[in-house]
Amino acid sequence: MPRVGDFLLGYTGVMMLNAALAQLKLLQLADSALPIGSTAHSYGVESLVAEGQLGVAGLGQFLRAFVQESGQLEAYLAYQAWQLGAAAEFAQPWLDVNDHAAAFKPARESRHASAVLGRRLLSLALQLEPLPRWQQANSLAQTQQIETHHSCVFGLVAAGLAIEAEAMLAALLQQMTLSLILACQKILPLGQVQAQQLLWQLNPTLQAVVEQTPSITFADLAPCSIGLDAASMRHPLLGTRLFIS
Amino acid sequence: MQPSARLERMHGHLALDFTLKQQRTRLTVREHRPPLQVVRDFGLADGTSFVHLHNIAGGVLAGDQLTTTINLAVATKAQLTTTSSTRIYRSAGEQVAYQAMHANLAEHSLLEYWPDTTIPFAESMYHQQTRIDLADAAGLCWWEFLAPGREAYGERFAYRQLRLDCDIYALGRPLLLDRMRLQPSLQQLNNPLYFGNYSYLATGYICRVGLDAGQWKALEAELMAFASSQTKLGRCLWGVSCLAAHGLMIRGLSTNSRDLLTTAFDYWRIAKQALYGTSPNLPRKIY
Repeated sequence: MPRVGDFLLGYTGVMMLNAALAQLKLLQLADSALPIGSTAHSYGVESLVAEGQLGVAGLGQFLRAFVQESGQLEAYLAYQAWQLGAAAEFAQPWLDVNDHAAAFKPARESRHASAVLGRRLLSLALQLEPLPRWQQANSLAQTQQIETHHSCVFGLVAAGLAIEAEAMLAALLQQMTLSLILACQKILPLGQVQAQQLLWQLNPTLQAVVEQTPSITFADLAPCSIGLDAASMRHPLLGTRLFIS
Repeated sequence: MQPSARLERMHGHLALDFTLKQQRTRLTVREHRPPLQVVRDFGLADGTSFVHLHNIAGGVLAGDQLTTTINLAVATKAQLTTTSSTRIYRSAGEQVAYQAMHANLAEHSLLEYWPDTTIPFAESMYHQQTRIDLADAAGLCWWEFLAPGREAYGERFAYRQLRLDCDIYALGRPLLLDRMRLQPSLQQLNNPLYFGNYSYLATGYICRVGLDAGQWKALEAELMAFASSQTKLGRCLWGVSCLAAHGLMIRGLSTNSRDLLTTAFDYWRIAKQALYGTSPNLPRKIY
């Protein structure tokens, strides 16, 4: 049974449950249309396509591996940050998780993309709902001159909105995968239905990553995307580029 | 009796200290346990101590645990190389061959590491952990070369499990966490996320703590132009990228090892000229 405290008066005037409100906020923050610039990046996929290494035929397999490797890394980072939402000790762990996020990304353009998206998401979140912990995270980034990475910010913001870890991780993984699929639609003959089918078929992989993330330790982490990283490193050399990374 | 039970597991250890004596770097072998061994160091003209790392077992067997620690004192210069490829022998059971290296570089020291190729045999299981700690103004040139197996025997990605970690810290903060876990039975390594149509991997880390971002960006541009000239689609791909600070990383994928080995030195030649104003010494080998 819902408790009295679970009911809020939303801005539409409709009574809703706290859980439903949190879900609405999550849907908004994980929407690919969120104006933080996620559609401007391919993270090296543009190079792979330009070099003829990646086509529509191999896209499903590529994306599955992408979720298992890069997705697992981002999920780990987001989960670490989510745990800091209500942690007593915040400053050093927040710096550490963002340091780790940067150190796990060898390709400059992809690392920069992650930092820009993180900064914009934190800035946007603060303008929507200036929670003290988010302000603290933002102040630390400025005073310590560190970059705040997208997955870390996503986890921290979700924690502030009382969004469960599992839902946060699923939304993050779906958003990053969808962003990549949308990028592929711009550079490959990939139709809208096919794009949605690809994403749909990845659901079990997304689910598996979500389920295993809480038990992953820093020592366990070994995300391997050597081909994509190297492609991201070559991206600045492309003659014509649709994407920033 | 299982074949693995008949083999004596090795717990090899090598502890190397480099110190400065009369403007030249000299080696002290603090400890060595077989199969790891160093015979002596050779002084290069610029004062660098040049050392061959021997593994007298010829490779790493399942269950072996080999560790090497390297300490460079302030303002020392050392160059290390292996005497042959690192062969990772097959694992009959679930035992993993393990090798760890830990390098501590004090202020203004410079370490150059030029190993031969790591060759994981069919059915092998290998875990390599490298940790490098850089103090202020410390410099690093560190390469790793990985083969898909014994290609002449028809082995290509026939190993069971390979985990390679290289964690680099500068001034106590993580600079690069370059880790990979390859399990050909679970991953399709011809996926472009991994190797695509290529088989050999080269990774180079070039660092000098304290240089500003502008200098790294300029060096990145110079090396990237070189990488572009060496990239030949279908044969060899190179990428270069600045790290978050203090260094850059080079990655090469190729259909053969020769392209990677010969080109890797040219990257360091360009970088060492830019960072130190000097030319490097190439270990005497057949490239």
